[in-house]
Amino acid sequence: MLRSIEVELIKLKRSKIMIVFLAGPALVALLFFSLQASGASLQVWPFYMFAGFVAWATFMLPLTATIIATQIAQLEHGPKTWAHLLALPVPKWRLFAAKAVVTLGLIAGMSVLTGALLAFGGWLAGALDPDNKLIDPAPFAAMAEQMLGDDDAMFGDMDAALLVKNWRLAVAEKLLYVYLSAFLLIAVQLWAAFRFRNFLIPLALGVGGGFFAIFAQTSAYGIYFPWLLPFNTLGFMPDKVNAALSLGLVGGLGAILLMLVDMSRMQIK
Amino acid sequence: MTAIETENLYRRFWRVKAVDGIDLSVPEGAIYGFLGPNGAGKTTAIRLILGLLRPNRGAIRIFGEDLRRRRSKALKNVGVAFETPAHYEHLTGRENLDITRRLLNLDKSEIDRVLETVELTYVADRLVRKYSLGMRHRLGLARALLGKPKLLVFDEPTNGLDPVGIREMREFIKTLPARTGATVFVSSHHLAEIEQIASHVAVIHLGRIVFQGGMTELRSLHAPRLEIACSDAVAARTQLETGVRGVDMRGERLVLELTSMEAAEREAAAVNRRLVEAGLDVHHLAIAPWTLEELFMQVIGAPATSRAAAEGEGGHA
Repeated sequence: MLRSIEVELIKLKRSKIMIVFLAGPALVALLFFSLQASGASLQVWPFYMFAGFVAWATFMLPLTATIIATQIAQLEHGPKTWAHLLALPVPKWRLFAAKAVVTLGLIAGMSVLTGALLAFGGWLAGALDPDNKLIDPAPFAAMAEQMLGDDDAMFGDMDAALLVKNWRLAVAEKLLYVYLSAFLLIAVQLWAAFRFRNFLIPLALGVGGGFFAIFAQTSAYGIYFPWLLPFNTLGFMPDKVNAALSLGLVGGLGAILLMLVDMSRMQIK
Repeated sequence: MTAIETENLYRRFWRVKAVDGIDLSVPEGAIYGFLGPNGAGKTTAIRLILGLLRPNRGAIRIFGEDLRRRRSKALKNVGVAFETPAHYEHLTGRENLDITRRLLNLDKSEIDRVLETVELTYVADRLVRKYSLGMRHRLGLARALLGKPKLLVFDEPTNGLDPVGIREMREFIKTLPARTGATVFVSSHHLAEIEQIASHVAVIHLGRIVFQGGMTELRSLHAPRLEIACSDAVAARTQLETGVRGVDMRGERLVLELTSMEAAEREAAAVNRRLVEAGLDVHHLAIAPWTLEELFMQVIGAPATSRAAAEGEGGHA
C-alpha cells in the first residue's frame, strides 16, 4: 500500500494540484487578513478564526476538494493511463485506495494550512497596525464566566469559560471536525471523478452540491446533505455537531469502501 | 507450457459479439502475431487477456495461472505496451518508469537497464511532453520490459511510427525472444510487419479465430506459385496448359500454381525444361510464396487484392 501511495505522490510533481493546495487556504487567509487589516476588525482571536473556518467549510473546502478529486482522477483519465495501471499485477482496489488516501491527505494538509495562514494573517494585520491587533480572550475567562453565569445556551453543553480559556484547543478541534465531516463529500467527489472521464461531471457535481448547500441549510433534511456537513460541525449544538461528524466521517469511510469495491470492477473498453 | 491459453472466450457489448468463443494457444518462446482487420476483436481480446475486461464466459490462463482467480499472479510475468503510448506528460521518462518500478517492487537499477535497452538514456530526464512519438513508443516498450517479464504483449506497436521507426520497432521485437527469452504476443493489422517477425499467427475475423498455427503451417495452406517471363508468353502458355494446373497470364508474365512447397523446385525445373525444349528463351523464373496479405484474405474469405493480382490482366486459364 505504501508503494502505491508513494507512486501517487510522484504523480503530484509539477501538477496543478499543488497550486490548488496552496491557493485554497491562501485565498481564505488573504480575505480575512484584508478584512482585519482594513479595520473591519473581528477583535477577538477565536471569532476571527471561526469566521475564517466558516468561509473554509462552506465554500473553499467543498470547492477545492472537488478540484483536487477531479485532478487526481484526471491524472489517469487525461493521458489514458488507466489501462496500463490496471494491467499491472497489483490489486486494483489498492491503486484506488492510494488515490483516496492521497486526496484525504491533501485536504488534511490544506486544513492545517488554512488554520496556519489564517493565524498568520491575523497576526500580520496586527503587526502592520496595532489598532487591528486581535485580542487573546484567555485571560478574560473568569470575566466571561461571571458575565454568562449559567446561561451558556449559545455554547450548547460546553462550559463558556473553559471555551474562552482553551480557545486554541477549541479552534483546532473545530478545524479537525470540519475536515473529518468532509470525508463523505470527498468520497462522493472521488467516486464521480473516477467513474466519469469527462471532468465536467464531477466538477458540476461539486459546484452544484456547494450551491444547493445554501438552500439545504433551511431544510429539515439539510443535516444529511454532504456539502453542508463541514459547516454544521462549526455550530455549538452538540447533537447537530455529532450528527454532522458521524455522518461525514462514518458515511465517508463507508462510501470510500463502496467506491473501492465498485472501482475494482472497473473495465477498460 | 503455453504462455497464453484461452478457452471459449466470449465477450459481447450489448448485442455485438466482439469476441466470439476464441481458443488461443500461444506457445512459450514464440513471436505470436495476432492479426485481424479493424474491428475484428483484437483489442477486446487483448483487454480480456490482461484482465481489463471481464469475459461473459470462458477462461484465460497465463503460464497456467487462471486470470480470474489469481489475477495478480497471472499478470506477474506480463509486460504490456498499448497501441497509443500513454504516459504522465508532466513527468520525465525516468519518473514515468519509476512509477511502474515502484508498483512492481523492483530494484532502481532496472530503470537504467530498460532505458539502455530502448536507447532512451539520453532523454531520460526530459519531460515526456517533449518526447517525439517514436520516443513515447520506446518509453512504452521500456515500461513493458521492467522486471524482465516472460510474456510481452504489444498492441499495434508500430501505429503512427514513420518508416524508420517501424523498422526499428520490428528489429527490436524480432530479437526479443533471443535476448530475453520472452514470449511476444503482438497484435497488428500491418501484415508485412508480422510476416517478417512472427513464428506463429492467429487470424481473428468478426470475433472468431479463423486460423491459428505456425507461419509454415499457414503457408502450407496454399502452394506457392511460379512466375515466368520468356520470349513468347502466349506460346509458353500454350505449352504449359497441358499438364500444369492453374496458369495465369499477367501482362507479359505467366503465373503457375505449384502443387506444394516441397515439390516447388522440382516442378520449376520441369517447367523450365519444357519451355527451353520448345525453343523459348526463359529470362525470369521465380518461386513466389503467397504473401501473408494474400493468405490473410484467403482465410477471412475476402477477395485477394495482392500486388500480383492487381498487376495482372488475365484470369485463370
